[in-house]
Amino acid sequence: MQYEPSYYIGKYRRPILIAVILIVICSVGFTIWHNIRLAAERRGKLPVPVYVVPRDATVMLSNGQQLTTRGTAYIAPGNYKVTVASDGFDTQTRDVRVTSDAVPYIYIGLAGRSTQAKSWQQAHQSDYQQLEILTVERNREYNTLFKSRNQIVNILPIKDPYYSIDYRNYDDRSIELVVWGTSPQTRRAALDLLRKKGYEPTDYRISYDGFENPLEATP
Amino acid sequence: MKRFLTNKVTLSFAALAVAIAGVLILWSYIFSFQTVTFHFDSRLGYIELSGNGQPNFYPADSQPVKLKKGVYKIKNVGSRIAANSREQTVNSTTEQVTVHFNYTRQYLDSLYTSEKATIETSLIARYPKIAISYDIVHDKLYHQGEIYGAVLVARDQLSDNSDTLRVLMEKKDGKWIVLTKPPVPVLGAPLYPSVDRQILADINQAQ
Repeated sequence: MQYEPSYYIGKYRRPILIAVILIVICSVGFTIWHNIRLAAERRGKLPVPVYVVPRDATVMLSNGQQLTTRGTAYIAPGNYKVTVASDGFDTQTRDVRVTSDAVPYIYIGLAGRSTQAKSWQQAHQSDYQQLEILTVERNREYNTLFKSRNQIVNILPIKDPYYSIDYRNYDDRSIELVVWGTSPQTRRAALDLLRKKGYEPTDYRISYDGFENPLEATP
Repeated sequence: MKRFLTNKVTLSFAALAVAIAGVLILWSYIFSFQTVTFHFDSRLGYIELSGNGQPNFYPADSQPVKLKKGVYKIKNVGSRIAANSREQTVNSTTEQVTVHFNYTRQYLDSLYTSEKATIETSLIARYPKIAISYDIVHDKLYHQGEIYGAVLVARDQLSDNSDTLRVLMEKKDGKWIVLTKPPVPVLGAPLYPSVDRQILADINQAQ
């Protein structure tokens, strides 16, 4: 004889309640445990986006850590070499600098070497295009970060009949100011101008064009 | 019957919600603390931590302490050290905090009287032209007396290269070594990472 569902709910209400409560507690507990485990694993590491073509390539860091080919890898700060390899494709190795003030990423597309790999590459142009889009976005972020880290570049170059201030940049995203002046007074005026604009020359490497340091040649 | 069932279910879920909220509150409370180790030269003085709604605290050197996350003020305390203070943020990435003590200006000046001759001898031995072409001014010691900075003013102000130069020296293993090779118009902090930026700024701004 068949009964209404409400009969069974009424008959087994206690076990059902207990089961529901246990399921909820287990779910919450598992979520908490999972988040704690993830936080512990990622402690001291920085997120680095990874996008590699082809998707089944292996991505290895020089410290032996294997990374995902798509998604976010968590890497301890430092300088590494990342090697991406896949059968039939040319292996690529690149330097990656992971620091909190940089914009590290691993966007690498391998070039096909074998006939099969070349055919695959032709058939998956959309993957390579996506890689290009991501790289352009990252470069834009880099430029924004470079300018925010070196805000002085927004006011350079400064050109005056008697002095000028410009800059040259280095691989580590730092800059060197280049000060040119016709005399000690104009070179000092250039530095005073920087101070007036809110930039302390102490914070920069500075080279002086047009200035021969009398102490330079002393052995 | 139905009302009884509904009340029981409602009560159970309410109890569960309260339990979950309690767990979350407890979790966020547990994670609102951070273990931090402060390092400083306890032979010279100690540090006072204040702020963040906590009573003043005096951590021992190299001993881990549990602190509530937030912003604190660290003040240096000692008879020969400058009573500098600075802000320190304690968050989940703060594990080691090193506090550097500077001697007071008065004490540094007293140390300089005995070091001046040795320093100038070393400087001129390295750059003999200084003795002929420059006056050494604003010369003083910094930090704990192991950093020396001075301004070199050219005696011939008519020369095209008579820029005022800055010299930086450091005492290592009992000997004074010139760090600026050669002395330059401005000391750039990126080139002297081991020297406090404020010291370099002080030398650069002296006229």
